[in-house]
This record gives sequence, C-alpha cells and structure tokens, in this order.
Amino acid sequence: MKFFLLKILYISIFFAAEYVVILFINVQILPASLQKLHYARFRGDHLYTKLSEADTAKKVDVLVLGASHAYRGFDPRIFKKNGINIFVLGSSSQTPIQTEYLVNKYIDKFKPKLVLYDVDYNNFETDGLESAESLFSAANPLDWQLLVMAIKLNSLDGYNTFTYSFLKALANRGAKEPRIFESDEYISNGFVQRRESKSKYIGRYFNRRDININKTQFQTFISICQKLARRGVKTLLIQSPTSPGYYRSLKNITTIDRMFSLVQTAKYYNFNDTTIFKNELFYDQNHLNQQGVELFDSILIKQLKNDGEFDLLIPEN
Amino acid sequence: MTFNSIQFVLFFFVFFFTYWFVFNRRLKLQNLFVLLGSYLFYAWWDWHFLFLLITSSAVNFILGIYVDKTRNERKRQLFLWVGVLQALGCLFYFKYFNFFIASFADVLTRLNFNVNIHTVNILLPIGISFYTFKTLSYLFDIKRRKIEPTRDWVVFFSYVAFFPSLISGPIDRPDLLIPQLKKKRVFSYVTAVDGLRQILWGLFKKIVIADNCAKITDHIFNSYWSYPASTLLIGAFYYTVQLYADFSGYSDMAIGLAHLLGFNITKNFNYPFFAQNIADYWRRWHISLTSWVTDYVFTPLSITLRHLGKAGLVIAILLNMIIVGIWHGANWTFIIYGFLNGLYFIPLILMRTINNKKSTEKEEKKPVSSKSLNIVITFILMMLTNIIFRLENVTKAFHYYLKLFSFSLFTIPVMQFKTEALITLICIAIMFFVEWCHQEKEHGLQIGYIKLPILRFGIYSGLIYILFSFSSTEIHQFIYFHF
Repeated sequence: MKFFLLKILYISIFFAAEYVVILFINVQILPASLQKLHYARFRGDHLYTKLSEADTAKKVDVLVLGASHAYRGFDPRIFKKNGINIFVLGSSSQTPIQTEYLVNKYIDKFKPKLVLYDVDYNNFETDGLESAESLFSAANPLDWQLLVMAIKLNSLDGYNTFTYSFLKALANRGAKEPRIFESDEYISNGFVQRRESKSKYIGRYFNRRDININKTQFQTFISICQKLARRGVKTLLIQSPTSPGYYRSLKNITTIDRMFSLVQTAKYYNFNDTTIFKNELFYDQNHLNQQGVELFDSILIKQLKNDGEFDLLIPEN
Repeated sequence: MTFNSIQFVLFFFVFFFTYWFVFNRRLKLQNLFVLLGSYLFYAWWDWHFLFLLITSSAVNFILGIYVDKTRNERKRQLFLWVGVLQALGCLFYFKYFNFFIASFADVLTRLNFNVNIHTVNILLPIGISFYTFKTLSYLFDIKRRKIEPTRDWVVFFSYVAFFPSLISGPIDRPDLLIPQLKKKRVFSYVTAVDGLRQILWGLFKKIVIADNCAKITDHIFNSYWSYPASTLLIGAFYYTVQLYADFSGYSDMAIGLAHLLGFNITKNFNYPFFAQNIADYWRRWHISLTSWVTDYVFTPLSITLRHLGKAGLVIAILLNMIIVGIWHGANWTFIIYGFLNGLYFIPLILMRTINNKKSTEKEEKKPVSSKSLNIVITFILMMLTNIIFRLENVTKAFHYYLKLFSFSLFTIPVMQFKTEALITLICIAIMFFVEWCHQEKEHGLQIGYIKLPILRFGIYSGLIYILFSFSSTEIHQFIYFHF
C-alpha cells in the first residue's frame, strides 16, 4: 500500500506538471477554436479593463447588469447627457450565476440607488460556462468564489481557463486584456461600442423555438433581485431590443415576459417594438448598432423618466 | 456526483483512505462504511429516493431468509412472489405507469371511446432498474438453492447499494459480490494499478469519445429533417459509438473503482463491436443484463417452450429481447428496438449457428477478411437499429429511416462541427485500434505486459494529453442514468 501511494504521489506530480505544460503548449500551438480554454479567444466585453476600472470606481447613480445587451446597449455618455451617472458591469453571456458574483463583489463600491438589470433570456438558458471563463480570464486576483464556480460548472474548459489564468497571474503576466475584436472600442464606465461597418444587418430567417429557462439560473436571478431589494436598491428588469425576425422566432416570449413581470421585487420593461427597432438599427440579430443604441437609450430614459423611476436619483435638499 | 466530477474525486479520495486505513482491521465496520458511503453517494443524486432503496433492501433481506428457511414449497413460492411483486411493482410504478396509462388511453381513443385520463408526473428514482434486478436475482438464486441467504444485513444492504455499480450497473450477481463482502479484503498493488488504468480508459471513452460524439449526434438527431441522408448516416455512426463509449466507459470506471477497494465486479462489455454476428454481439454488450435475462427469463422460457422446437426458441428469444428492450424504459421505441434485435436472431436459429460449439469453431477458422466482413455487417445492423433507440418516439424514428434510405445518401454530407467530428473520428480510431489489440484482455488499457516503464508512462501521458486537450466542453450525463 505504501509503495502504491508513493507511486500515485509521484505520478500525480508528474501529471500535474504535464497538465501545466499541455495548457501552455495548447495556447501557443492550437488554433483558438480547438483550445480547451477560452483564455485566448476573442471577447467583446473588455472585462479586464472594466473590472480594473470598477476596482477604482466611486459611487454611481445606476448600475447596469447583464450580458452583451448590457455592455453594448447602455451607453454611459448618453445617460451622462441626461444627468445620470451609470456603470455597466456587463460581461460576455453573463448569466445570473456570474451576476451574483459581481453584485456581491461590487455593490458596496458602487452603492447604486437603481439597478438596470438586462434580462436577456438567452443567458437564462445556459449553464454559464462562457461567462465564467470570461470572469476567470479577467479577474485579478482570482478568488475562492471563482474556484467554487469552476467546480460547480465542472467543465474541462472552465478548469483549464481557471488554471491558466491563475498561473498567468502568478507569473504576473495575466495583467492585460485578453484578445479583443478590432472592431470594438471600449468606452469608459463599461460600454463597448461597435465601430460602424459598411455592411448593415439585413435580417435572416430563424427557426421558431421555445426559450428554455434554466432552473438554477432563474433561482439565482430571483435571489439577486431579493438581495438588492433588501439593500434598498431599486431594480428594473430591462428586455433590450433584438432584431424583429429574431424576436418573432421566439414562440413562448409571452410566457417569458409574464415570468419576469411576476418578479415581486423588480419592475419589468420590454423594449422590443418591431415597428421601431428595424433591422437597420442592428449590426447582428442580437445587438444594436450605435444608431440603434442612441435611439434605444433615449426611449428608455424617456420612458423611465415618465414613470418616475429616476426620481430617486434626485438628491434631497 | 458523477465519476467524472471533482466532487466524486474528493469523495473517493476521502473514502479510499478511510476505508483502507481506518476501517481495514474490522470487516463489519468496513462494510458499514461501504454502506454509508454508498448511501451518501446515492443521496447526493436524490436523497428522496434513498428511503425506497433502503425499504427495497430490507424487504428482500427478510424475504430471502424466509424463502430459504421455509420447507413448504408452496410457501417458498409465495415468499418469492411477494419479492417479485414488490420489486416489479416499484419498477412498474416509477418507470412504466405513465407509459401504460397513455398507451391504454391511446387504444381507447382509437376505438372511438372518449377518454380523459391524466398521467401523473412521476420522477424515476436513479438506478432503480439496476438495483431491482440485483435484489431479484438474490431471491431467485435462494429459491433455486444456488446460494444461501446472508444473515448479515450490512452485507446484503451493501450488496444492493454498492456505489461503484449502484447507478448504472454492472448488475452484480449475489454469488459474486456477497462472498467478497463477507471476507476481509486485502489490498493488492497489481489489482489497484490495473483499476487505475481501467478508470483512465473509461474516462477517455466517456469524456473524449462519448461526450464529443454527443455534441455531433444531438445536433443531427434534433434536426434530422434538415439534413441529407448521408449526414443522418454519420449521425447514426457517431451515436452507436457514443452509446458504447458512454456506457462501457462508465462500466470501466465502476470496475476500476471496485478494484481499488479490493472488489471484483462483473465485466459488462467484451468489445462488442468486434462481434461476428448478432448473438455474439449480445454476448459482449451489457453482459450483466443479458446474462441476467438469459438465466432468469430465456432459459426457463425456452425449457417451457421446447416442445415447439425452433418456433419455441424463436418465441423465447423474441420475448427475451423485448424484455431487454423495455428494461431501458417505457417507450415503444425500446420495445421495437428489442423486437428488432430478437428478429436478427432468427436466421441464426434457422441456420443452427446460435450457441453451437461447432459453428463457433468454424467461425474461428474463417479467414480474417470474412471475419472482418461479419464484423462490419454486425456493426452496420446495430448502427441502424440504434436509431430507434436514440429517438424520442416511433414517428420520429420512422421519418429518420425514411429520410436515411433516400437518394441523398449519395450526396456530400452537410455537417456542423466538422473539425470536432474529425478529431473525434481520430480518437474513435485510436479507441478501436487499442481495443482490437487488447481483445484478450479485460479492458483496453491493460498494458501491464509492457515491460518498459517509459513506454507505459508514454501511453499514460499521451492519454492524459488527449483528455486535457480534446475532451468535450460540455459534460453530458451518462446515457444509462436514464434507465
């Protein structure tokens, strides 16, 4: 038995070393699509820069949470013009599991009075791996909560990305934004602007489908809303516009709308109006172009002002 | 807590050390520890059904003693029937109730009766098909005086709940596992190392082959109507490999884990893709189930029907295979799957090549080309039959077959995930090659015969490299967990 255990120990050390070598070799030689880690893949969220900014940020009026709809749809410059200071804590495919982590970490720093939570149903359907990997790559330092997240996801990609990011950070070489799209530009306070391309989105056909909400994600989402309510932070749930064809392909969107409307601690707004948000206002089926963002943000601000949702932001004399 | 999760690795790490270092001196305590560990493992899945597992064990433990000690043959038969009814009753309620209700309602509707029957949302207790068959074989074997019942409840309860084989088999027979639970286990270095090799091989099959295949097959089977027949054929191929790699991978891990604890459990697969014909295939596929059904269903049935000659044998085999099919779940697809497999036996019965020593010897003497042709034909037959096993209902399977046997079979396949499919194919080729070379061995990675340590370590390192570089991103649950 002693011999067996010793041998296991030696082999484990050998394989652990081999694993590290494999990780680094794969990042160097394999194309990104074949790598079993997302560290080197292109990402649009600029999360490292965003989190670095968040670490040094001060109090804001409004905190925006969510995935790409959030960081590509809520332009802090437009809000600023309307006298509202926002920070967008959105990340790629952010699911409630990652939102919960970010809320726990940054809520005391930002002390927002209002939270705009972009509830893109796409991110309620997944297990959250993509978003977790984005966090593992960008968070500096990696903490225990992220390790627990990796274990709960139990995916090789997740473990690899976590380990690789950890080792990079140990070697002090992780302190930079992983690969980003050249067509994107990071705007201070968490927004990512897509530079205008010559070809505009012209729409395409989508198979009709049902949205299947992941139970764990929805439970986590409810718990976030409750947590914010307990802290006295008002939460508005926002369904940002998607292209008309894409939106119409969702069979059970009414049920999903009802589900979000029934959340007791938050009010729900769906801004999908296919007569206003036409294909030319998008750069793909899911994301508004800058012209679309300007229109959406102005409609959103007007609507929320009319409903008195921003009243709590006016300082009391 | 699947075998390929960090939670299980931590669980087993603690279990292994406590098992060998704390409880190794007292057998009773060690068995109790096996039992508690197994219950914890089961409760991790769903603690609600732990009560059912304990009750089922308790009922069968008591009945076993009564079946043995009662002298009156009619009473013995009665006790046996109580056990059978309890086991099959549970199985029927949890697994088949909704199916029969829905089928009954369907028949009545077709006969123009207006029915309004509601099915109940019943959750399937995980592993129920496996542990129910274990308890049944225990009672049957006592009734046949093949074994004596154990008076040690910890031993029996541990036999039923032994965690490496609790969720997805192998379905261990009492005469194999109970004696091992009754005597002190001695740690064997050779067995433990071989267990680790088998776990590594199982992991490779599960997370590299099966999970990667799942990504491809899920996509093809979920939207088969939009693909040409050539793609559907590729889908059927990958699914057949997935099914094997998934289930045999699980079995390899289960056997390897048992080895680490000093147990020897039933071999469940014997390289079925190298089978020469369908009978040979079923002797190699899910061995613990097929041998169970052969012993307790087919043999008694064929004896009863022997006066009918070949027709009796055909009926017995058809019924046998339908039971194998329906064991997988309450769906017409499984019944048809079993029936089709039964049909494939008929030519073998007519040609008297089934279980015939002479014909087996004849097969052995055949040239390699002829053997290879047989292997390919058997594989294709199973590949086509597995389509109905995979799809949710008969209508979908019918449409899949209809589309598969069309002219688009000769077109260039349309594929998503082409690169993944190619890498998976290379890994499948590696698996087939390794298993072909080790057909005489217990598992594909039984490479203890390689004397050069550096070569052995090279193979392990290569596998580790593949595991970390080409495993599937998504972790899929083991297919047989659903059964």
